[in-house]
Amino acid sequence: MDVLFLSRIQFGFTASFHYLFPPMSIGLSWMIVIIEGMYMWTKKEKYREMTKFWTKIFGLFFAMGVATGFVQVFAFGNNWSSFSKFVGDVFGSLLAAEGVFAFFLEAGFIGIMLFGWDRVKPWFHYLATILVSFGATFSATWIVMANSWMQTPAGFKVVGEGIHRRAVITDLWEVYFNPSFIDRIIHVLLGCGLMGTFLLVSVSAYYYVRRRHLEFARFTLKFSLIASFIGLILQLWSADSSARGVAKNQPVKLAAMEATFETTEHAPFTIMGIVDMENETVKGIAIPSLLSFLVHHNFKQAVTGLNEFPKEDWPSIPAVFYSYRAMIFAWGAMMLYACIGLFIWWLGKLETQKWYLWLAVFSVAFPYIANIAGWFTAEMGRQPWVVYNVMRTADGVSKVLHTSQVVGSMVMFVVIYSLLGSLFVFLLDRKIQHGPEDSESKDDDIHYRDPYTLPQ
Amino acid sequence: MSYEVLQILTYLLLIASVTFYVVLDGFDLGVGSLQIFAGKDRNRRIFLNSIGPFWDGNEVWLIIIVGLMFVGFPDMYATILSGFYVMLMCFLCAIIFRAVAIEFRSKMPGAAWRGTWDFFFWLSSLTITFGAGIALGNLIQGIPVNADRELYLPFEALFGIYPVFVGLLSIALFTMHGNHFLLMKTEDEVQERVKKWIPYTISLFVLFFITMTVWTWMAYPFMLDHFVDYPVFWIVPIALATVIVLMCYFTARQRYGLSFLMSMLTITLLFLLYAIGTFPKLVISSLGQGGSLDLTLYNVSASYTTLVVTLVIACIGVPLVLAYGWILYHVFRGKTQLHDHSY
Repeated sequence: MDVLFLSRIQFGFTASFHYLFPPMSIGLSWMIVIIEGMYMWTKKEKYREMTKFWTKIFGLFFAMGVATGFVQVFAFGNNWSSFSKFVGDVFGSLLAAEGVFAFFLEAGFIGIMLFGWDRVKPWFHYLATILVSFGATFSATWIVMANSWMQTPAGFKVVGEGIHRRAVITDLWEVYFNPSFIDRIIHVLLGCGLMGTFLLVSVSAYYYVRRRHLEFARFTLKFSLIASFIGLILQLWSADSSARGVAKNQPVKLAAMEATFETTEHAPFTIMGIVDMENETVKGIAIPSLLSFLVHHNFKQAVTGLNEFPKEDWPSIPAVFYSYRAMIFAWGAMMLYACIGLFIWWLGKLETQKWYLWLAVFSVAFPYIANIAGWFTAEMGRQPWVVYNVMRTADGVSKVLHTSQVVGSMVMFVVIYSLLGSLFVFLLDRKIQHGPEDSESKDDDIHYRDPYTLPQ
Repeated sequence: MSYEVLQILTYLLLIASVTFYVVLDGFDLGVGSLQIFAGKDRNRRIFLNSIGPFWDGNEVWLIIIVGLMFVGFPDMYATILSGFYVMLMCFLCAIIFRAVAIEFRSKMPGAAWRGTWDFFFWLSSLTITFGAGIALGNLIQGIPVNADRELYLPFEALFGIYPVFVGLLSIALFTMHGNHFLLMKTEDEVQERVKKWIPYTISLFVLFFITMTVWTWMAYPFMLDHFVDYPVFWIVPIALATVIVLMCYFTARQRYGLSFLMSMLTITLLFLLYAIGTFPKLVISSLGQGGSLDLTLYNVSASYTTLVVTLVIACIGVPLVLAYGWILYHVFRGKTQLHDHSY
């Protein structure tokens, strides 16, 4: 095992773990903006309590996102210093903008959102909520912009030799709005939204099953089922646009996603299959001509295969192929949840169908699978390049590191993140078990936080 | 605007960000190093909640520093972050644990639970403070950056006697700063408690400050070059001495808002001493060669366009950031109170 391999594993691991939290913060913050908006509009106490409940959950996700996000800001310099030297001019300016425009907005107003209930007027609290939500969304925008530049670099030229070789900006707007940015940010944000809606589905289904907080659950489940359904339809449209963008800008990635080894007309779309790398074929169930139709909106036109690219430019075909399918299946599962839920609601049996509610409790796993698998497809599909067609991942790694150092940091991250992950799940569960404050709250959790009844 | 002006402006932006970071995160790190001594749970919660709404925003300045290094001085970012690998891993570990300790401590009532997180809060605050001092000490002392701008530096080599003392100075400085902050934000019994500490924290800081100033100017006389060339800069150490005296005076008169302000100025001026001494060098190479291996703000800065972009971002961003900061500190002004949604 060498430094390059370990650094890739470490970045993949820390980035994936980090990515468990911010998308949920973003999606959930939109939900909170809507629910607190309903409070502002109707002035009904129940919406205020719902907002408070979700804000506490949001705080937990937010804290985890911040703590794990620090690692990512340092990671480019720690393990990828040659990459950092090369792209600092371009990539760094996007990260710095993220810090100035997004993080301060979030960090400045999260305090008011979490602790400001008695300190500021309701409208100001609502403004703080909106600004935090805006900051979270904005932060995703910059980071996806930076990543999109790595996928489809534009607006730059390479200057200098040896250690001074670097990419410099020639056209800022081309860097910002590089060819894949718009498609990808929409896709990512819809993914975040689905995280939020499905968390609401899960939690409210859980309360139904347990026959608790029924008023809360009734509103939340119906609201989140509708929002999920809309999000899933929009995601389908965005997926189509993104995939066609990949076909145009990164044909080798698309070929890997579909494991299309030979350029073929009437290219089939494999629904389920096994990649056979030795014989360079896929065995499985496929729909004839569907891939051609999806890529070109025409059943005949050829889809570029991997055979048109030198083998050293291929990503790992099975990894990309399977993670892409994991994402699609997760979308399918979410769609199934939403449609069945809406159908049962239409029959008027939403509250009594326990089998459905139990299944819905676990539905939040699927947006997670879809988001992570989607990023795996995007990032592993870009390999062996770190900046597509400009810099190879192998050339981006830090030169000064020893294997032992990276093994050490890897072990550290695995230990810390396992600990953090379990603590997080434990605390999230407690918050959900406690539930929102309403007529049936048991008042068991709040006591120890009251300064006058504290254990001394 | 000429390239050189842009480079210097970007450098000033970096210096300003570091100053904001040490002044702001300095007090919450200082509160972190004191919180474990606060006594019963209610006091500890008041300590923690005094920084509750602020610490997160303060830490963003660290991200800004790192981001600004990345965009403005990419080679410095890459060289330092890869060269200090093991230390930065410890640093990140401390940052994660600190955030988690603050967030998780109040979520369960048990004494063991809370005590554990308080310990981690203390340890991580000290680690971050000490780590920042170690890094600064090594930057003054010089590190073996080679002609390829790569830094091969074993972890244990970072802990020379001089950097360790700079680390101790930063612990003394931030602890004092946190103590001033607590005087300002607490009342009654808790304030009485932190009042007892302040003479010791101030004395400890002054002791370390004098020792390290003399040591630095004796051992690294280049830090004095600019003061010799431009005597006008002597205004900084003079102002610093004055501010420290005023800080003691205001503390004695129980004007805690003003004494905290003086503490902020102390940190600012102290960092200015470093900046003036090392200008225009960002990283001093201990491999010598007449300074040709040093990373300076002229030879590692990003290209012209990128610097323009950075400064435009700063021009839009800085007023916004200051406005958010003002709103936040204004909303949470006054003595810290505990509520049911507090930490």
